[in-house]
Amino acid sequence: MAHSTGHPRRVRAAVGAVALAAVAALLAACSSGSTASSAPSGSTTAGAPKAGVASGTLTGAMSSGAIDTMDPNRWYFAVTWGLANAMCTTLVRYADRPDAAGTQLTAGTASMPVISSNGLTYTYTLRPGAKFSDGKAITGQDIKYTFMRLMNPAIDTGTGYYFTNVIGAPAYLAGKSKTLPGIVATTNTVTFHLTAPDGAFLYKTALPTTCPVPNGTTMKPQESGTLETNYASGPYRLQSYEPSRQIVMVFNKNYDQALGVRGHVAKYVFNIGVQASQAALEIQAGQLDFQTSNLATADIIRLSHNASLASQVHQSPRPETTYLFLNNEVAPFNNIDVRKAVNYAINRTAIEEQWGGPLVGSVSSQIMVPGALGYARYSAYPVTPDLTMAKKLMQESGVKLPISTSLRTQNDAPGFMNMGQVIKANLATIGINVTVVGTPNSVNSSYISNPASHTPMGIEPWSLDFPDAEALINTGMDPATPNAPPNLTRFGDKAFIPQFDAAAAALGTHRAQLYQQLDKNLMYQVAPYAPIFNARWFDFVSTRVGGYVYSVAMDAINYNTLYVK
Amino acid sequence: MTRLAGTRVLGALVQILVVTLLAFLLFYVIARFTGASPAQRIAGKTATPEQIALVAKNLGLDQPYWKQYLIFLGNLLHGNLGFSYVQQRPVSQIVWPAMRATASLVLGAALIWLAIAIPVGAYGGLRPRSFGDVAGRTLAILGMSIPVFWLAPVIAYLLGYQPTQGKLFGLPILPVGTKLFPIGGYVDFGTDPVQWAYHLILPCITLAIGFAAVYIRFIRTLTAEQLGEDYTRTAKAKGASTQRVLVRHVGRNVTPSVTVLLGADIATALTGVFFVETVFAIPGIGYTGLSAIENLDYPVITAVIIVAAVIAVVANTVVDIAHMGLDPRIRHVPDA
Repeated sequence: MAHSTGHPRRVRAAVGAVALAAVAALLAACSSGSTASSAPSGSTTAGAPKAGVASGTLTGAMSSGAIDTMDPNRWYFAVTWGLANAMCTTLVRYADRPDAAGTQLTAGTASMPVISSNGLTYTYTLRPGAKFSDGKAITGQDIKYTFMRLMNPAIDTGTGYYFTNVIGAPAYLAGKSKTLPGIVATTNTVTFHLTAPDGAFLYKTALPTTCPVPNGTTMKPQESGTLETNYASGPYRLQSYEPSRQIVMVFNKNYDQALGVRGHVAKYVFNIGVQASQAALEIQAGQLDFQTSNLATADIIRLSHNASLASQVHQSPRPETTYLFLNNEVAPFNNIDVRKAVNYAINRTAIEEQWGGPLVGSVSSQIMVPGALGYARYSAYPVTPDLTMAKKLMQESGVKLPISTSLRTQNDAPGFMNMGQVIKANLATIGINVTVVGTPNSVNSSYISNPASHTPMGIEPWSLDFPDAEALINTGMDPATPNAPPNLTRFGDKAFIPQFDAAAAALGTHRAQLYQQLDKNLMYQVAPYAPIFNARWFDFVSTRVGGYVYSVAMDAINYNTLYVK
Repeated sequence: MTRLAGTRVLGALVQILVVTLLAFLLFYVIARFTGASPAQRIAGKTATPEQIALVAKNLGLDQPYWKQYLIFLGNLLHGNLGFSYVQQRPVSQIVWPAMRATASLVLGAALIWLAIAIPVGAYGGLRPRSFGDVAGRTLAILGMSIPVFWLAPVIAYLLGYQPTQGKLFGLPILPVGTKLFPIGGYVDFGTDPVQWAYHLILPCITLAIGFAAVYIRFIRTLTAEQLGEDYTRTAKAKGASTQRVLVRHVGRNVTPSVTVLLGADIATALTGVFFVETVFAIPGIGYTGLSAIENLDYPVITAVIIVAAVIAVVANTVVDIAHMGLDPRIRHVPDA
């Protein structure tokens, strides 16, 4: 057989050289340091950090849909509120403490306000040292403009509603007025004049959407991140933002530590688009420091059973309730006895097991959530089914059985479809045949929020915007506005309006008592929906992360307390 | 051939126009009736109906559908893919970088799958029923059977994560903390070419395995067929070496068919790498499309569909024309 022609030795030598070069490049890559999108880097800092000293880099992961907006007066998702807590100092802010201590308010850009005796006037005095990241002092006019911006119809994503009690706000929110006379500003003070007392007003002035922006900022949404880059007011500012790719946040050198000792990491790099399961692997492999998504049940079980990882696991309460909403305007759930029967029939323990079990939640049959003002634990309904009671109520309802209905939920997050199947099985025992309809959260959320969809029932998680009962009870089920998007139950029993209004106007201990009673009255008398459980946050971080605190109020990691070990 | 090529290009343009209409209908009209509302998504969870209506007006979603389509088509003809509802910036600034990432992944995978399939398939065709041929075909069946959504996380686990725990394929033979490959992530070529390549190794291997399996069988079959033809027997009889027969004779006849398949597969892969991009966190076109769906960002979703369709149409058109060039039999078909 003839051999090939040509110059075999030169060809083999050339191929060999190319192969060697490729291997050398691979080895160089393997041993190279961190990159912009993978391995964490930076110096280590042993022990407790010193005030005003920020060092090291922590790298985290976010899921692809974690960021709703980068406009500081529009953000609403929990992940962006975590960023807001780092890049903004609101008039008052939450303490950097874990658990319930983290729901206490403390001075922020302003000192705690002076409140008039009738509860209608709140006067905030700005503190020396309150500055934007460009070095300019934050003035009262900046604060007033910030509130006008967040309430402007072109900007508002729903938190403007919380300031309806400010004089002139209804017309301004509706776009019928260009002024807001209820907010009066001087250089270093800002005063809010209300039409009625508001026991949660202090919390509302700590909302992340009240992040200060300079007077005159455009009244159009700013999604590029320039506001957080140039006018941050917190311990951090935005260095760069590539939508759906990466966020880089760096220590704000113009933040005055006299406003609160915060910020010990020089740089945070957030890689967007990393799945939670992959992120957990990367943290374990030392290629990532933290992540911001709910972990899958399988990962939670794996990590919690690994004793060697115990120091890297953190659990925290969340201001959250997961509930089965029942449309009070659509048959059969327009019948009170049927709604009560559902509360007796569902197996809350089994449903919660689909979410992850006791590690990540605690079953509940009441409206209010732990840690929020107005919470006092009680059980309106059993955690496991009482079919005798449920069937008795179905009989008393007079509704003809069997009934067919549908349950809507998101199908792009772990656990929801499984929870739907458990509820389907539970309700079949009392003659209610359920079809579970799953759609991605973006579709499901807008569908069920639309009153015209007449959605009979669905599973929905709800995180409180601030740790007060008003953020759940009034925001989520005000009987005066049954068609409001957050009122998924379409609860519109007018007889309850006085109780809702009285509780919202009350202050202090009396407020807590009124909401506790309202919680019980609602669940025992009309059962507008079926609470299932209160989720807990289960987190897994790398060995480099110190100072871990989960901000209950923001429902996000507190980046101001972390340091690099 | 010129007339044929011209007809082919014209047909491609008509196909693209039809796709734009279908994409628009799918997301702007049909989605409306499912209740998915980008205005609601952008206005926020607690927005009032009035606020939602205002956002819809600002986005132009309150216009009649035919008017929205004409505006959309007019923009497209000027190369304007629209404006993202969510990111508030031109869609082209979102889609083109994503395309570059996906192209890196797909072209890298194509090089790998060809590098595997050509020698393995050619050997199998040359030595049918030999040990090498049987092994190649067995691996090919395995490669075709394993779904990519299983393969991707497994490869990331075995070659990205386990080495950091001191293991290689479960065997404790590496030092703990070994960084063999990154579990995920992407680095732009312009930022660091070495890291760009390093981060693409596992994703490219993952994507290549399934395609390599198909190509092994395809090339094996074609090679075996061509080796049975008279002209190859003649070439051997005239003293040509096996290598010369394979490269100069069989290769010339196999290449057009492989090229056609490659063009179609690259187009398919460009639009279907979603699982690999999701697992390895590569911000490509599949990931961008998914993110846009999660956020009901209709302009981006529509742009992704259109770009994918254009790629498929262009790839097939280019391949058809290239086939004409490679295969003289097609080149000399008399014009009707």
